Amino acid sequence: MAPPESSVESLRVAARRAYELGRLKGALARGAGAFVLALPGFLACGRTPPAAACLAGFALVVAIGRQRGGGFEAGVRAGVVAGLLPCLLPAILRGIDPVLCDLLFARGPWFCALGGIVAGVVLGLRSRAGDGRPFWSGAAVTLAFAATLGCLPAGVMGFAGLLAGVVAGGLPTLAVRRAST
Amino acid sequence: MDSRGRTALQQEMTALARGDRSAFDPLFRRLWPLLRGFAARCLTAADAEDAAQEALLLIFSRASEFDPGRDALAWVLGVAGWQIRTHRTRARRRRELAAGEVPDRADRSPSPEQLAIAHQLSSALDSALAGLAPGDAETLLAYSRGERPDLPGPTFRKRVERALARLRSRWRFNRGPS
Repeated sequence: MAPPESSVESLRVAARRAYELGRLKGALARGAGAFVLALPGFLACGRTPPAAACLAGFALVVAIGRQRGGGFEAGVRAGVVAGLLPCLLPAILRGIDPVLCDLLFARGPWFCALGGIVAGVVLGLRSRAGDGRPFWSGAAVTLAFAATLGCLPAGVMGFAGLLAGVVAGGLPTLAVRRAST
Repeated sequence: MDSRGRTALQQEMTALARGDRSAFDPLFRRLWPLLRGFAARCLTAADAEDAAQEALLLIFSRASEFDPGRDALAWVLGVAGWQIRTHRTRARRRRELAAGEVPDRADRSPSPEQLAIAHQLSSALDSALAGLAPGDAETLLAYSRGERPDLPGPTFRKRVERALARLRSRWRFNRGPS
């Protein structure tokens, strides 16, 4: 005997709620993972309020990406991979030699530009021809939070270097990929 | 399920895992009859409906963890099979619990025979206690009432053990080894 229509409808609603709840749990777990991943970048960068805001923004955007899914999530994932090096490079260098790290930041924005170039190349390699606005917005926001966290000690010039690096690394990679497909 | 349905299931599960909510309704319509039929083969009609519902909710709550590289039908039936087994175990435990709670007599007051046995045991215990040293009897009475004299815990426990050993031997002496 088939169940009445109303009970199937209430089951559908319950199933939808279960799906959204499951997705939210996954999003919170991913957000927490992103927080832990970027924490060394925060600890190495003077623990200032802007760095804390970048760390929180990074974790939040990763969680939102998982909750929303689709192209935005794919973009966030690409942004995390691309932003990992600029975010963690200062922390790694500071772990090896704090004096060298301060020296590199003091010498100008080229250190951040280098991280930006790598991030741009990674982003270009992870993108596909059909990726639309959700992908690029997710990738850009995530990369911005992650990379800014690493380049904060270099100030505004560091941020400009980072941006230039991303463009310099990303545009040629994208052009080559488009040409080859 | 035919190969076309299987392919559609794979596509819908993949889309939902990636967060495409438009795949939810077609997937729900495809999964519900499938799970009901699967559960009906393993459980009674009443249990099958409940188990199928629980399995459906579990599948949707874990849908975002689905790996598109895996076979969707196998994954769905694996989750459902696990849920059915859990449901069956739970039902069996409920039955066992219910069977344990059924009273064997309507009247729960002790029978005359039980009263006579209890009275006999009580007087035998009194006579065994009377045969013990006053200190041992006091220790055992305090222990049975849950009282603790002004003694350290291990000392009191040791005294209780010794008094119980003496009571046991006195009991055997009065009533025989059985």
